[in-house]
Amino acid sequence: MNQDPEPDVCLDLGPGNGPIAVEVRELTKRYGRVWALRDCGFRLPAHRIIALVGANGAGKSTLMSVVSGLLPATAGSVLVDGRPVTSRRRARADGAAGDGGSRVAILGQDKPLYRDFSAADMLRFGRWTNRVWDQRRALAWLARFEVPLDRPCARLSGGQRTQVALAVALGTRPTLLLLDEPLADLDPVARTEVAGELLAEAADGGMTVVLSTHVVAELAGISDHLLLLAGGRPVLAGGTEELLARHVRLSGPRAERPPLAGTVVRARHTDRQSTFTVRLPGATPADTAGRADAAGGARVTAPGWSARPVPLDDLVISYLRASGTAPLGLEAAA
Amino acid sequence: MSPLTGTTRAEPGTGDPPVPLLRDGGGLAGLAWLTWRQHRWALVTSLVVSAALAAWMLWLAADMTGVFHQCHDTICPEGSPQQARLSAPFGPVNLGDKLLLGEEYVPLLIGVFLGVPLLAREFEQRTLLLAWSQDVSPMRWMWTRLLLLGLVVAALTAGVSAAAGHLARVLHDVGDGSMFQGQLFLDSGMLPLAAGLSWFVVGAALGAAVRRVLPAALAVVAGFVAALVAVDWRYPWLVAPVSRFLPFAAPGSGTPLGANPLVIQGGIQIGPPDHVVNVFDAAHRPVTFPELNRWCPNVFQLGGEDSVACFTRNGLTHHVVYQPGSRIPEFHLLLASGYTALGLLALAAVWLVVRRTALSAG
Repeated sequence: MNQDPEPDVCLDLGPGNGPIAVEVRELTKRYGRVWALRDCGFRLPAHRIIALVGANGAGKSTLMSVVSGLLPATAGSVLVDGRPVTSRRRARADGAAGDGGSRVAILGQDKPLYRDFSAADMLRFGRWTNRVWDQRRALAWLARFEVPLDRPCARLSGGQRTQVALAVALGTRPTLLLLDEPLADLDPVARTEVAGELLAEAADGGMTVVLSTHVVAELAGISDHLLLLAGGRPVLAGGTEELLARHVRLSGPRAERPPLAGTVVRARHTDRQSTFTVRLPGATPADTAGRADAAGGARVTAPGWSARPVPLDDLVISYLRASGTAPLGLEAAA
Repeated sequence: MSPLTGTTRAEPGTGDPPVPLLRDGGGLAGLAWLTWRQHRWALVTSLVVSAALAAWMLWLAADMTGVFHQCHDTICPEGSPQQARLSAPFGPVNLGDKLLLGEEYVPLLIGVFLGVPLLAREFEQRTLLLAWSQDVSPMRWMWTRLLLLGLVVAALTAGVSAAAGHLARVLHDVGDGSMFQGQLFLDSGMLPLAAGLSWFVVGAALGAAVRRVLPAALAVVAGFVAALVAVDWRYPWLVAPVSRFLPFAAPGSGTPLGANPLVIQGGIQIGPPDHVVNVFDAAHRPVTFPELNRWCPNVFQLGGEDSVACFTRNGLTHHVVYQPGSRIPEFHLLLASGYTALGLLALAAVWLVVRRTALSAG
């Protein structure tokens, strides 16, 4: 039985032989003496919605900026659709971002827009500054969320501004869409609608979406994959369902070890009771699918012990605590 | 970038007709539209102000030229109605002087209102992430916008500069000022054009470096005032001046220094008990107060014309350091070169800032 699992150096989110959207190798980014990313390595599958989760300061925005090519890495490499993006600016200048190349769009946390531009002007901006532009897709997105085209962005609500920024990003027909805290300005209903539309766009348009958040509750029903960052490193990665299936919460009389084989992610003890969050052994999705039933308690035979599934927010917080990162700023509920 | 041909792409998974994917973005026309859309109010205001300024200058110049012709193309005599009209408190000479004084500050307005916001506003409103994450590279984005706005600045300042130069020449004709001195010199020879372009780029560079509009604008104001003082103070010495002893000229006899000299040093001082500065005898020996009093008794009680007549009668001279008027084009070229160098330095700074700026989504 292992205690306090060490973070993996390289986490593979790729489904078997499926296409890889992003491959990051030994990526390091330093701001002076501060390490934002440290020997970060992982692969993200294509055509999925991937949630990038971490506490404030975990390196989410930095990772997205480096992957987009806006921010140079201190060391390491990033491949998007198999092409290096160490200097996306140069690639754009050389025309590599045109047809046939990977197209990466990034939407910053504060959804920057030109304040005195109307939504129509913003679409025109997108059209005039991109080699590939899908006006119908952008217009359809704005129409779907009833954003007025003629009103200056400064006079739009926060949610409407988010929709305009998303429309511009989607209009560029990206193969990889990076969204930094995209849903923060949206009410719960709009959040669900946007998530649903993004899922549809990803499915229809062959697009991979990476969205970062520190609000774990936002992820329910949105993402099908999870990448958890702590201290500039990935500490957990995989399909959301698979990850949930591979973990179980065991409760029973006070004990030093849980009654099931696996890696203890987190242990909590009171005078008379112990609770363990355990990662079950098993490498393949098939294995973990089988274990999902175990999480219901069927295979726990020790007297007084029960097994329950681990909610996603608990799982995230457990890993963050195990990695030694205090999850300050990580909200389990919206 | 050469525009690419259009293409179409089927809407995936919908069976809809092909969706046009526009592929002409990132070209000059697109960036021109973006530049216009972002800076249209500043550009329209600049155009209106420049046109009004140039029209006013030309109108004043035409007015003064008419009076000049009435005086048979000479300086109108003191006491004449024409002279009274020209030199009235709100007459064309005073207004022209004030306009030329204002023209000296036009480059400052260009730097503050067109140069500074170019990058500082993008930094301040965090729209650089939006602009630089499109297909247009940051360098192309920056150079194209600088070039387009620079062309507008050049066209506007060239027009105003030509009008100011014409006004300066007319003011020189109707008055007795030298074209080498003060506003008449600094507002002619297309110097406003060079200064306007230079301070436009300086504004952009300071905006890029400071990343805030207001502090960058204040930095431009401080830099401009410092440069204005430095130019006023140092430009007479850009080339080694000519120095010579001159006899005191009788009033109305014309200047022995030729047309449009820039006199740097040459004034005289006389005061009791023995204070005489820059008065020499015919042998270029300094004259003492008793000697001067002996040649021109009660020199203090003599009027200006009488004292000069006395000095002339006694063959006295004074030492003059000056730049001949023939050097005006050379001085204009030197100052324009200085502004150009300043502009190139600012361009290099803008390039460096854009190259070194790393953006983060958070």
